[in-house]
Amino acid sequence: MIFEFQDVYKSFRGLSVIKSLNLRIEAGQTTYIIGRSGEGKSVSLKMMVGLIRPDRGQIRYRGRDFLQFSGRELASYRQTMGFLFQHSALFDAMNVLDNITFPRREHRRPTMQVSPQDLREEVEAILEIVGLKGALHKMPGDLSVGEKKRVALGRALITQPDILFYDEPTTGLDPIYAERIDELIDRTKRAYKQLTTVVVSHDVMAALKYADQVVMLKNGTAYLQDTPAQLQASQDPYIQQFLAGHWFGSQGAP
Amino acid sequence: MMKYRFNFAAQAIWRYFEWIAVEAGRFGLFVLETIRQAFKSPTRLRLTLVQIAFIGYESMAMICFAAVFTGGIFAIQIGDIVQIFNSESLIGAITCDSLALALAPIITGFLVTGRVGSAMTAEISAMRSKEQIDALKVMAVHPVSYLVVPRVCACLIAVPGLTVLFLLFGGLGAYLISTYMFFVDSGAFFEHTIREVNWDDLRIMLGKSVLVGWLVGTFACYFGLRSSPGVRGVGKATIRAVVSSFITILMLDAVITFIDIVVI
Repeated sequence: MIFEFQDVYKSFRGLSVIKSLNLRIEAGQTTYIIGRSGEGKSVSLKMMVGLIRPDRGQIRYRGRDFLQFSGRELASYRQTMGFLFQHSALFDAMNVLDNITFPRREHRRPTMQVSPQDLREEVEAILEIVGLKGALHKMPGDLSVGEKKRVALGRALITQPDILFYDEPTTGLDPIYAERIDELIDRTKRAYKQLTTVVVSHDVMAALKYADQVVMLKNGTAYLQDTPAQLQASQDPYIQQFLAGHWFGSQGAP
Repeated sequence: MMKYRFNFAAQAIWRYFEWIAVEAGRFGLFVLETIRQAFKSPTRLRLTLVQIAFIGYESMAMICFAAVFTGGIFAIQIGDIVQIFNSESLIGAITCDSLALALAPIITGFLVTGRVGSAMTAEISAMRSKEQIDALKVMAVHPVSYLVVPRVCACLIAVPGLTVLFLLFGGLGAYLISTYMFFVDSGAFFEHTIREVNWDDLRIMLGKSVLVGWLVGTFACYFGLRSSPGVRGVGKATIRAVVSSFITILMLDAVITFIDIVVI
């Protein structure tokens, strides 16, 4: 197990977002965290990378107390992970090549030190994987939303991470682009066998298709944590309503 | 009723001082973190040079124009008074001394704040809005090390340079007014000016300009990193950075002048 949340609580300006959250992220698996807007999906993801600290509760990373990590430990943990932001978070002043190589230039890990030519070849290989061959010198402003997300994925992959976090990777994309991104997440998972993937998404169909396990959040708690098959087979009215995507159901309006 | 109003006013004043204390504490911690990161590897020489070019080189034309006009206007005002005593040859000395001791660091600070400080705050707060600061963090890059240290270091180097430039071009403005408007002999202008503007004056000017540079860079980055998300947040942060820099530069100048004249 990579991550374990125990009774985690988080509020913002007195408003509780996460209430008694218990969840487990298994190593080498693809976990989709789904739920309605405002249920704390992105907050729980950001807790896993140390961007947000819970008010109380415990987060364990590979059995260790994650909240007690020193700055140095947190930095070395972050060098082993990749994060795809909802709005890509590419640096506007850098072209695609510089954006993708940025973490490699900054990390300075001895195992990651290669010549600029080799690094460029690595970037070209990654751009081929994400379907953006030849975009090396384009600026983020010249890219579409979907292309930006793929460049951001390239930036996350360049450090050969152990864990890859995706924060709503298909939000704001048309169905075709969304499908391409979902396929890319799956292809990346298959290309990097040991990779643990955590995806926060609204896309139920993608979760059912690509996830090894699904965590459904409701009212700041893990309402369900199971396999996609179990999720689909569930007779729970709330889950049925969520899967069907109905505004009104037996659980009333959300 | 009176008691209620008094309590209300007392609470408001208390909250205000509490806010000042909290902000001062945050700012102090930010300054300490900047110093700590400045002495930690990696050295960001390339980023610092880029910022020096942005702050220094790209501001030179603006500084030269402003300085010529400031020196010229000041020389006209001084000339109008000193011609009563037939001492027009002192226009350059008085103008350059005033520029060195007070105007050059202050106006350079104001101009750099307006052109560079506001741009820095807007850039950093926009990065914050677009989650780019969070992206730096998750890539194990300290935002203070990457964004703040190069900018503050560049300000510490570029602002004194621009202040010297301001003094030189302010002196040029004073020279043009003295010689063409008040018909002062060039030799007399330079003789008085060089005799009056001594090394101590330049030392104070450079000292002030280093502090002004530090203030402009630090305030710009601090308010940028502390901005609230969204377009409104960018605007608010920029206003706060500019106003705080202006007021603090004036306060700093007053304190240094007081120490220089009264204490020393």
